[in-house]
Amino acid sequence: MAPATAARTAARRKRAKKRRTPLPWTEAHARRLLDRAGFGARPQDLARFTKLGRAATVAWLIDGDDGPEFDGPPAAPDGKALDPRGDRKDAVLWWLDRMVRSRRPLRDRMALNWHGHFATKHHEIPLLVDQHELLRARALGSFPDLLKAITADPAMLIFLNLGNSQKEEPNENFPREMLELFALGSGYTEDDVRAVSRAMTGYRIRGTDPPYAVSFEPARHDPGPHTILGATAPFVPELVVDHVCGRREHGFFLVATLWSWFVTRPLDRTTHRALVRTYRRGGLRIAPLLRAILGHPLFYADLEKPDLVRSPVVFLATTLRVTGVGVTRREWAGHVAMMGQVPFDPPSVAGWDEGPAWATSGAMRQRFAAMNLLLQGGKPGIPVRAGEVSAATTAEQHLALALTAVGSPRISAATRATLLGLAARLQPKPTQCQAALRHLLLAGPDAQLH
Amino acid sequence: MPACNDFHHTSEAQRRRFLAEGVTRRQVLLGGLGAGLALYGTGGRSTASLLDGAATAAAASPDEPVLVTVFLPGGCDLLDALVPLHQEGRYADLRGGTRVVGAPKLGGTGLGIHPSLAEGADGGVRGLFERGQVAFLPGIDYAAPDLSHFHSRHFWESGVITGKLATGWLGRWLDAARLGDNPFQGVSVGYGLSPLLRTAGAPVASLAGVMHADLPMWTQDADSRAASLEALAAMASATNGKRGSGRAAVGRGLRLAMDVDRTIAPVAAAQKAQGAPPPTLSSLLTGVGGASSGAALSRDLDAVVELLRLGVGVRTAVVTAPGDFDTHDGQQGRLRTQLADVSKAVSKFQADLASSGLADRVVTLVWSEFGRRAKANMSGGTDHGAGGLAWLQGPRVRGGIATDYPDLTAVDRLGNLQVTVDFRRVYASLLEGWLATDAGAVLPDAATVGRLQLIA
Repeated sequence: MAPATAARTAARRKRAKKRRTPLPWTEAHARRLLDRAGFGARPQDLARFTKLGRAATVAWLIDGDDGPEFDGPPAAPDGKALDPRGDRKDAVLWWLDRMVRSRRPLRDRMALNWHGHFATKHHEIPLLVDQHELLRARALGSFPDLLKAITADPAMLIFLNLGNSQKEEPNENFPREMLELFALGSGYTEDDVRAVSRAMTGYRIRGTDPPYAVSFEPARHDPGPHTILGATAPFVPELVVDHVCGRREHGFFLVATLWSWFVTRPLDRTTHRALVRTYRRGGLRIAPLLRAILGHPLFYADLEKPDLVRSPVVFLATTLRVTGVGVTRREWAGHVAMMGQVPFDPPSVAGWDEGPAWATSGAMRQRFAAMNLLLQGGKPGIPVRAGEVSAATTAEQHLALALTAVGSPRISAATRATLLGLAARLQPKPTQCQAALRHLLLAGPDAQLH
Repeated sequence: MPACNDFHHTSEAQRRRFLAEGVTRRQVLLGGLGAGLALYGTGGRSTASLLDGAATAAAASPDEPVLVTVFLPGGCDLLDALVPLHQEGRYADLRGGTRVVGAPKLGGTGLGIHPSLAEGADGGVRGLFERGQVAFLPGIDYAAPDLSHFHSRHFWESGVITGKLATGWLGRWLDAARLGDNPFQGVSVGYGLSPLLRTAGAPVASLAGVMHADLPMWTQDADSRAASLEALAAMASATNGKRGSGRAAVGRGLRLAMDVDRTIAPVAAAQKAQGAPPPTLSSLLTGVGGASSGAALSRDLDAVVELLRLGVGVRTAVVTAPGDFDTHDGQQGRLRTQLADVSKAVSKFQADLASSGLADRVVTLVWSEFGRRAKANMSGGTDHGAGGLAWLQGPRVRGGIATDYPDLTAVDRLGNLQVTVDFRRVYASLLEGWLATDAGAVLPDAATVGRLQLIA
């Protein structure tokens, strides 16, 4: 081997060895992973995955196992089976229930993320439920395939007018949002928007009721040739997608987007480039990229001071999942709306404003009020039962019991000290004491961040 | 979410009762509005002390000019709103079957107006124009416009043509005007804070939909609840982080929620006992095209009127109209409905201001983030374009057509209309002509954009 090649090989081996140095793996790490790559960890899951190790846990999250997709039977809140294709409120409850019972939590978390990314508004709920199934099925696979599928999705075709776009008058709505919001972010001009619009003509959507018939009609398609992002060819929609996803800007845009869903620390240039390489070498598939993000040290930063605000849906789904309460009341649909997020109804094609924007004073109040419900007797929840506590229960025992009741979440040292102080103060009224602790654990700052 | 504002349910009788019993302005305000109040940038001060300060500040300078803005999201089409009857043939060529037919004339201008803009109190927007209270600004935009909703809207909101600035132009005006501690100096009506009002330091408020304001703990008696909320306050105080971080937001959000609860809960409870109807949860789960958009805009503007009446020092209020002016298809039907909603709401707003003796203090800017393509598309609509429409309204406005209507025969190579006035020129003119502030303190490009005489 020539000296220069030997030097490069040695350098490469050194980098690879550095990468292979294992990250620490504790219960706190497992919790972070299950919180952000899913909807939280029940205590028994946490123990199991802590023992299993990081690689195996990530593998389980990405690949699943032979068991069923969802745990247990579908929810029937207030005793009635849900009809997601017949009623919008049912659809919200149906989706929350799937998040609560999911045995593929990363897939379901990504389905939620993709919903915000390919944000679609439509008045007919069956189309949106179908779109959800599409996003979920393709959540971890090839991004170009996902984008092609979404392009031809009936709800999207109607929402952004592509189902009406033909060669005489191409419609620019979907092409523009595809470049700006879905796939590229930058690195294109107005001329590119118009060329993509011409190249993506030809879709047709027909029917008076769902499910609609979607077809591609060559007679309505502008054959071109079209000059898109510097390349001239007789582009058809699928080739446009491939071409756009082949651009350098796409990799950087997609990586930054997915990073923002999981990590609050900034994405430095070196990491960004490395992840783009991983994404491209993985054939533009999401799974290898996720594996890299979920294994990155920055994903595990700030374990003691988590900084990622839970969206209303994630907050509610996580709470109902880890407490074991599940989706047993129809009111949850309204509560998640009052917290500021209605699944299947994003505010615009740009999706929701994530992160700190969720934490307005009004929204925090709504979370607090929703958790109030979980403590009431007579309906499913975690009310304090007779005999659980007595005047003899100590402050430490109160806190331990409350933590168990709410699913053993992580709390800060400051929270622990404060709640022990409160327990000591309220101890003469044991039922109220226990209920207060549960309420503050469910609705306090620790529960809002992960 | 629809802006079903609790305040809307406060009846005149209740208001009179409160005032007769000598209830403070703060209590009246909070009773009606506090339900959905969110405060930004108020530091550690309590809601109560801020509101007392607000009343004092407002009493000190009761006649200061106010600027209200109404945003029509999506890019409102100029040609269909202010119809180019002076180039009628060209308009017909460009728009074919989707054009507006039978547009009433705007006397003396050579232009017509969409029939829907004549709907509402006293002839709607058209009536206001005829009484000299509307200045139309056709062709408004910026050179080489970016036709993305998000970029364009951001430029209009921040007042600069760049992705960089995080503050809104009205936020920077508040910073420059140094109006003190009063969070009501800038009010954003709707969920969350409009980017227009992002400030570098001045406190502002947003007023959102109906939400009850208390922090319910039904398992607790009064003492235990008080102790629990003290504990929550301690937990929230310990949740801090860098400015803009999730931790900081959660800590601050919880502290403010407790603040609002502490201040307004007694008043809100009293109101509830009066029988103000609670919201229904299903009303919050509207699908596309659900709630009546006109009613929502009127409710938001009603809230602005009430805020002004209460005299808590509002100097600028920003409102977003519901509905979607991004008419890539079905433009005729959609504009017919939506422009009617806007016309009814803004003319009622003007009438309410007048009957409250406030009209002379208020100028309203109605704007959108760009215009639309000159030629119609094949879906019965238009794509994003340039050279849109904005207008100013109010008795102090210099009525007329303040800018040149773009020449329909002079579209650029992308098929867009010429931009005849940069929106920054309009902002600079309002800052200096109406708000008595040097535009250079607010807009980086103030020196290069010229001025218009917009105020009579």
